[in-house]
This record gives sequence, C-alpha cells and structure tokens, in this order.
Amino acid sequence: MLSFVKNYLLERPDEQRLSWLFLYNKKATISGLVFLFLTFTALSLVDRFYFAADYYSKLPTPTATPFGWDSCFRLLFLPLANLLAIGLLCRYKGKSSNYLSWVSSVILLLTMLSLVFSGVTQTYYSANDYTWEVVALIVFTFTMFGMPFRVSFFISFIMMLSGLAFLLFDKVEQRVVIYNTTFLLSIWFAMIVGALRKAELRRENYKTVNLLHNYTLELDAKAKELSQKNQELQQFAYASSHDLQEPLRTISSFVAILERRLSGQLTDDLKTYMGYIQKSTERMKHLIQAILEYSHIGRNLKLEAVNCQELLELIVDDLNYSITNAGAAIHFVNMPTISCYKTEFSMLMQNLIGNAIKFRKQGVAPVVSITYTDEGEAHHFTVTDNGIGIEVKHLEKVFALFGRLHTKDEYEGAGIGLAHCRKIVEIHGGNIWVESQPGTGSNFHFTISKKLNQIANETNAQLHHAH
Amino acid sequence: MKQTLNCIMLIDDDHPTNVYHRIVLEEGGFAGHVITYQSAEAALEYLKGTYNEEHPRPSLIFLDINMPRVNGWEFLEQYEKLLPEQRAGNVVVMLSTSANPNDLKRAAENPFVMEYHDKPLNEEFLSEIISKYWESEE
Repeated sequence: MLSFVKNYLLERPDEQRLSWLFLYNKKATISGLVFLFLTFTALSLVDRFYFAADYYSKLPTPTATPFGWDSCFRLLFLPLANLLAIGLLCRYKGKSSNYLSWVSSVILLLTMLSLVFSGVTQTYYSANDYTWEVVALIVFTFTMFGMPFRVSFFISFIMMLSGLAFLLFDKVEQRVVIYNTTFLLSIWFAMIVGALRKAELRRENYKTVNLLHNYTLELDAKAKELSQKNQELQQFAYASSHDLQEPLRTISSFVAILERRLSGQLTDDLKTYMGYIQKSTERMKHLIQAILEYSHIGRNLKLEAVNCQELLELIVDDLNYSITNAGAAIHFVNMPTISCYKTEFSMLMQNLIGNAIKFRKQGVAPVVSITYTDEGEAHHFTVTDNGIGIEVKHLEKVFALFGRLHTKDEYEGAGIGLAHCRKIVEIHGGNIWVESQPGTGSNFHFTISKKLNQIANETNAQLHHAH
Repeated sequence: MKQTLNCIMLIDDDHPTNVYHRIVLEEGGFAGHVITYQSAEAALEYLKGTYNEEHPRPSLIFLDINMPRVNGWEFLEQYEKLLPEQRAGNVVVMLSTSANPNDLKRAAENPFVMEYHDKPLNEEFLSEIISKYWESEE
C-alpha cells in the first residue's frame, strides 16, 4: 500500500488532473459511482433509522423522504452533472482539457448554488452544513480547474479524515459529516481507480516507447553495420584488385621479356600464342580496373551546376577520335543547366554516346541525338541512335554487370559501361531504360532527380548518423 | 649521359616481381648493384649493418606496400628509427598495384616517401626519378 502511494500517487507528475481521472475510463467512472451510491445508501439508512430516527419522525410527512433520496440526489448530482458535461464536450474533438475543466466547473458551480439556494438543503440542515458544502465545492472546482492531482488528492484526504474526526467527537453534526465524508470518499475512490488506470496506461505507454526506442537502436545498429559493410566492400575491391593484378602484371611482364629475348627464334604460331597471352592479360586488367571503377562510383560525390550543352561539347571533343573514325554525327541543342554530380554525369553521357557510336550498323554512319524534356520533378534525357538496336528479350540484360550481347571479337568492351550508367543514374535518384528496334536503333532514356540536394543531405545525415 | 646509381634496393614479397624489376634495372643500366629482399625485416637488417664495398649503401629503395608480416608502412616506421647514415642515400619510392587513395594520401604525408608509383617499374619512370633526384644535384 505504501509503495502504491509512493509510486503511483506521490511521484506522479502534475500532468494528472482530477478532471481527467474521472473520465479516464469507464471502469474508473462506474466503480466510483457504484461505490458512492452504495456507501451513501448504507450511510443514509444508518442515519435515518439509527442516528436521527427522532429527527425524522418529527418532520411533517410530505417533505420527509424515507431513505434520504433528496440528499442522495444532491450528492449524486455533482459527479453526474460533471461527467455528463465533460462527456458531452469530449465528443467534440479538439477541445482542450482545460476548456472542458472550465465548462464543467461552471456547470458544477451552478448546480451547487442552485441546490444551496433552492431550499432543498435547508429542510434538513443547519447553517453549519453550508461551510462543508462550500469547502467541498472549492475542492471540486479547483480540481476541475486543473489543480495538480497530488494536491487535490491530499485536500480531499484530509477533509475525509477531519470528517471522520467530526463523526467521532461531535455527535450533533454527525449526519452532515457522514454525507460529506461519503462524498469526499467517493471522489477519493474514483481518483484511486483513475490513477491506477492511468499508471497502467503509462506503463503500457512506457512499454511502447521502450519498444520504439529499441527499434530505433536496432535500426541505428543496422545502418552502422551497413555502412561498415559498404566500407569493407570498398576495401575488398581495392585489395582484390591489387591481389588480382599482381600475378597478371607478372605474366605480362615476363611475356614481354620472353618476346624480347626470343625475338627471331619464335615461329608465327608461337607469336600468335604469345599475343593471346598478352591480350588476355590486358583484358583481365581492364576487367579488374572496371570493377574498381564501378565500386568507386558514388564516392566523394560533389553536387554542382552543370551546363549540359558545354559538357556535351567537351565530351564530343574527347570522343573526337572515334567520332571521326566512324563518321558519326552527334546532335544536341538547347541543353539545360542542371544540378548533378559532374564527374559521374559526364561519365554517363560519355558511355551512352560511346555505345551509340560503337554499336553502329555496318556501312551506316552513326547519327546520335541527345534530347531533353523537363518532367517537373526530374530531368529526362534521351540518347537516340541509328545503330544495331537490341532485341526485346535482351533489353534488361544490357544494364547488368558484365552483361554482354556480343562476342569480344564483334564489339570490344568489358560489359560494364551500362552497369556504370545504371549506378550513376541511381545515385542521381533517377531511372534508366531503353527502347529499341533491332536493326533500326535504340533510345536510351534516363532521368535525373531535381531534388538531389535533399537526397544528398539525407544520405549524408544517414552516414553521419551511422558513424 | 645516363646516371648510374651505385646501389638500388628492391623490397617486394613477390619473387617474380623482384626478378622482373632487377631485369629492368640491369637492362636499363640504372644501377651498379641491385639488392632484392622479399621481406621488410631482412631489408632492415641489411640497412642496420655497416656499409662497405660488398655491403653498399643503397641510394634508392623501391618499397612494396602490401607485404605479409611487416608491410611497407611498418617498414617506414622502423626506417624512421634508423640513424640518418643508415638510411638510404636519397629516396624511397612506394610501389603499389592499385592506386588506393588512402595509400596515396599516406604516401604524400610520409617524409621519406618521395614518389608513389604503380607497378611495374619501367625505364621511363626510372629515368624520370633519377634525373629528378640525382642529375639536378650536379
């Protein structure tokens, strides 16, 4: 009991207020009312037939109510009216508890006043009764104003004790004392039930909060783990590229020495085989390099405003050799200035244009056009060519890492260019897809989010959080 | 005229790499002596010894980063504790297969590492560093 008082009543924060305790749940309300009714009925019966039998017998018959129903009504009316008022107001969402307290208090005040001055009470009680009524009214009103739970609890408790003391030492006023004590007792009881319920709710809340907290911790740990795994993967890429390249380098170094030292002694066959070894090691080197580059995309991103027209002109300059070689024409006009990761974006464009030139039809000069559409939330670029095209069943495959549709003899490459492109578009918060007609050409579409800043911030925040 | 250094030290755990680098150095006529070590510990032991005709002081060290037990960085820590006259004449060059940005940064910060280069060594790079660190002194 002591620990209950200590834990749930004394150490509760002030946010618990009587006005809410009454309404906290049906259990608190109903048990409070039942308790009040039963105690009152019992006490009024004792009062009527034991303490004040003489008093009642002397009253004129019409005004006398056999079981003290008028008093019963008076006492029940207080919490009932209050409950009714708050209950009604509670139906209107958005009304604050303070507002409810005020309104209910006013209703209560009016009820009490009407009772006091209506003459109902005067039939039975002396002037002393009013003192009690007023004190009870003040307590009740104050609690309704939102007096801290603890304070209202103790005031009513002290009043109840003093009521009991009156009962013991002052026989004259015992009737009144019984009524008022009962009244306060019922409030007290409802408060305890409400407080218990509230404590229960708090415990449930606490559990939920705890659970959420645990989830958050778990998520944090997961994010941390992920970023760690990512770093490990980067390191792995470096390490493996180092370790894989070492033997390769040795092979090509010694093949070169062999070729040099055996020059003149090699047959044509052997020369071809040496050539195969050299070429294969070269290709392996490129593949490893490509993996390394792939793992590099997305590191040290720097968002900047890029004039696409100028950028494309630069790319065309860079690709000058293959463009001239293939007799290609590259068209683009009125390209916008967009905010993106310049290095990566440039790599993307270069890859797509390079592909458009590389996969050209035999005997047809490649024509590549780059067009732009503003899609509100995103920038939409399209790279159109008149090349060999891609069969529908292969459309998805082209974006896979090491996804190749042709033999190395037909078209050179590591099969990584479009995988790079996809990764670059993904870090730009966009999509990449291709439409194609075999033999006619391909349209490579990709989008770049306009909210890159936001995405970057979020990613940074996550990374920051994870570290 | 091409400058020939008295002694060049190669430290790499990979034997074929050492052999190849020795061939490149010798064929290019870059050094009178080429000392190769497959472990950093053995190389440090050599540096701690007294220098003489048969035990020449290296002018240049090519150091691999990725080695078992004592790696290139750990070698440099030990190297720093050597007496100045025990250290190589001039230059330590770090060698690596992959240009790991972390390694690059570390190499740039280390006072003993003058250059950072991808393997394998070739004549071009060798001529370049020799003209950079030796011919300018003359």
